Amino acid sequence: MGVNRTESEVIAHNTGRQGFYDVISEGRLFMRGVKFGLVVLAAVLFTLALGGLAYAFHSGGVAECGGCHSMHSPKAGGSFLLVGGDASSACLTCHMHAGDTGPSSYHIATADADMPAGIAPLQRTPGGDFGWLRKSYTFTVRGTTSTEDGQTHGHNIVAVDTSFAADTANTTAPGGTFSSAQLGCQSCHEPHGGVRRLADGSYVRQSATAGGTTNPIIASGSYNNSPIPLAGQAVGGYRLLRGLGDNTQGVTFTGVAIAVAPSTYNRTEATTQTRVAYGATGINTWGNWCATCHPDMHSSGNYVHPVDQSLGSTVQIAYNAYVKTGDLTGTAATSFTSLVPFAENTGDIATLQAHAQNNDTYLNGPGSSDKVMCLSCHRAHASGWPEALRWNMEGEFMVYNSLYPGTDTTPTVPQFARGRLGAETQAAYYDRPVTKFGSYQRVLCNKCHAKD
Amino acid sequence: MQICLILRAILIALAITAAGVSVSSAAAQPVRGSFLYALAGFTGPLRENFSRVVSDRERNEVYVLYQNIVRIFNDSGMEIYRFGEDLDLGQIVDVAIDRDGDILLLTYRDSQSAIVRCNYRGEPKSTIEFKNFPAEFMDFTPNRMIYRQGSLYLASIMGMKLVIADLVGNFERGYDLLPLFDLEEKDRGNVEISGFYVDADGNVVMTVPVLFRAYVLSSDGALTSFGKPGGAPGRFNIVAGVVRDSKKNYLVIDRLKGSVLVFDRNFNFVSQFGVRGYKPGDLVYPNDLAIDTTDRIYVTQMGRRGVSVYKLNYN
Repeated sequence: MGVNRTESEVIAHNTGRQGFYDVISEGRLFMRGVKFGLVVLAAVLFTLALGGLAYAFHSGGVAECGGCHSMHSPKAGGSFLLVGGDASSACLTCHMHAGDTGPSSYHIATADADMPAGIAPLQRTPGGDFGWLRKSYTFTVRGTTSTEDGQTHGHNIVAVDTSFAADTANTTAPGGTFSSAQLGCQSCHEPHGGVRRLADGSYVRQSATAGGTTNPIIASGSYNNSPIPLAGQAVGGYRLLRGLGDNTQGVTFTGVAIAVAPSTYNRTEATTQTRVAYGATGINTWGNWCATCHPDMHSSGNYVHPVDQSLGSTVQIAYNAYVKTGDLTGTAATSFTSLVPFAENTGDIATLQAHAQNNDTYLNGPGSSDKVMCLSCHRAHASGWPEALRWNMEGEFMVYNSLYPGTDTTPTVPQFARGRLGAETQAAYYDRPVTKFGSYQRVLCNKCHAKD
Repeated sequence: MQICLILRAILIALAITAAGVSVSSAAAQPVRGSFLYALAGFTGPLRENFSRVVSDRERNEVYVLYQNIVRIFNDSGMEIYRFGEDLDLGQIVDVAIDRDGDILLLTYRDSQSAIVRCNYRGEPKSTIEFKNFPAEFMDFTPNRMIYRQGSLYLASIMGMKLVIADLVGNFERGYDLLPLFDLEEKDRGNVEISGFYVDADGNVVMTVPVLFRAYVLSSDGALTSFGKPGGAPGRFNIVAGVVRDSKKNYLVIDRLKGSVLVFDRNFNFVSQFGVRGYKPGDLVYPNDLAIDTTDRIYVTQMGRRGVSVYKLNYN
């Protein structure tokens, strides 16, 4: 067994064995004995070394197999020896943990146990906390009682063991045909990290055919402190997201998703923002990537908000000037808000790494060639608001009378509180102080369109 | 000849390793868990996911914390009392019971932690403030708390720090677990404690899933560890709750396997029980673990399976 004490004992035992040959042998016999002993020692050490430690876990590619697959467990109930009921349940084995008291690194869903009524989900990742899917709110406006169903708050991954179920309202992806019953973490993320970035900044997929070769992944490529690969090396694609022709899920991801996140990304934005630097080049755009499942949301022939298009000078000027409702005194150097991010018109990782910060040292707004994307308005996982929007679009005011709307803070305007406490509303804005907004802040469409 | 020699050597090496396993296994008593029942109220078994479970060993009662409600179960596994439905006490993240039966609640309000001492009805009596914490522990944010022999053992599972305080909140000693686990500062936030337990001798037992390892920090500060990644019996997939039984065996939850793994006091693998499934006695995504003085273990799960109770058998 691989326990420290036993390992020490085995090694000590073999050292003693070598000494035994010392005593009884001379000449060739002695040498053969020494050689034999060394081989035995090496074999034992090799056997023991198979259980070495690892803690970065995914490291941009194939993780420790035993973290997800169980080779010899009795009665495996899932597929691929995942044991769990499905792939997403396997992911949540680590990415959800009961007992959190605040944002906790790689946790992307708050456990039910930690979310009593009146307490918002705890995680603050840029993608959002899947816990919001469990938060339904009931409220009465002008005599009519309504329920905001938690499942409207994001992507309803199917994770049976953890009680995440398929979306019952949208049986297919809005704007597409991808079955909601098939939606899981693995729909977007390739758990083995197929996409990799090379030293020259280009992207390739792992060669899946005999005779093929691919540069090995040396580390994650998702962070502002990720290494730049040398020739012959690679780093993982952003967040292990699928791409480059991956059609294993029944849809084809054509490009890759380009972005860099700060190394500490799951954190409150009460004092400083968490800026993910999104990139765009060629077909490697976020709109194109999301359109894999939501093609009609992206089609230029449809009457939908443009994505992957340059902001142009009008929107650029508005974004940079907009501070809050009634205040257009902003400057380009400080205008960024993580509630309305944009994609920079570059795929240069060094540039994006410099811009991905969590300490407000880089808050520059967009240039006119930077792009609007799906993630400018939506969070990738889930948010506190319907349609996974980054702000509340169900009413005209995000802030009312200098207060975050809540059943406790603004009881006279339940249409803005929508059944939440004021603290839950603040949590949905990642804990920003209300003073960051106007006293009667309008929705953040105005960040680009400045109509308020 | 050379090849034969190497093959012989490898075979002997494997035999040595295997012998170590079989001898240690044979020497230890087999341990099995017999399913007894699920904790229940008057309307049926609990259905909560991932609750926190704590055993009051003095009174043989069991406490279950879920969504800020503390439920208390008697020796037969029936709910006898509950409190904490509202948020007046703050958000309760852990529960401990001291020798006199006072209920200690680790709570958060506005991101500030506090320990609220309550009577047996859950009515607040006083608040325990943290005092005399050294600078390196000023940012300590505990989310696990265990009472053992007059001391409070507090752990920050993601901050990877451990503090032992007296019952009025005075700092007694603390550990930054990162250097102890041979990790670097950059790893803080990427490694977390999952299982956390303090045995009768004051040894702190912890599991760390991404390291595939369990650690024992003895009361004199010495650290030992055991565990290897893998799916075979006795290896760790995703480890979670941990306790020690009356024979000083270590019981470790493996979430992915849906099993409880038993190791003897020398960390030799003894046995494994529990399989993934929805039948009575099966486990779905087990997580937390508690044990009482009669070697009954309490296992929390997902899949709306509540808390399953097993009796450990040693023959």
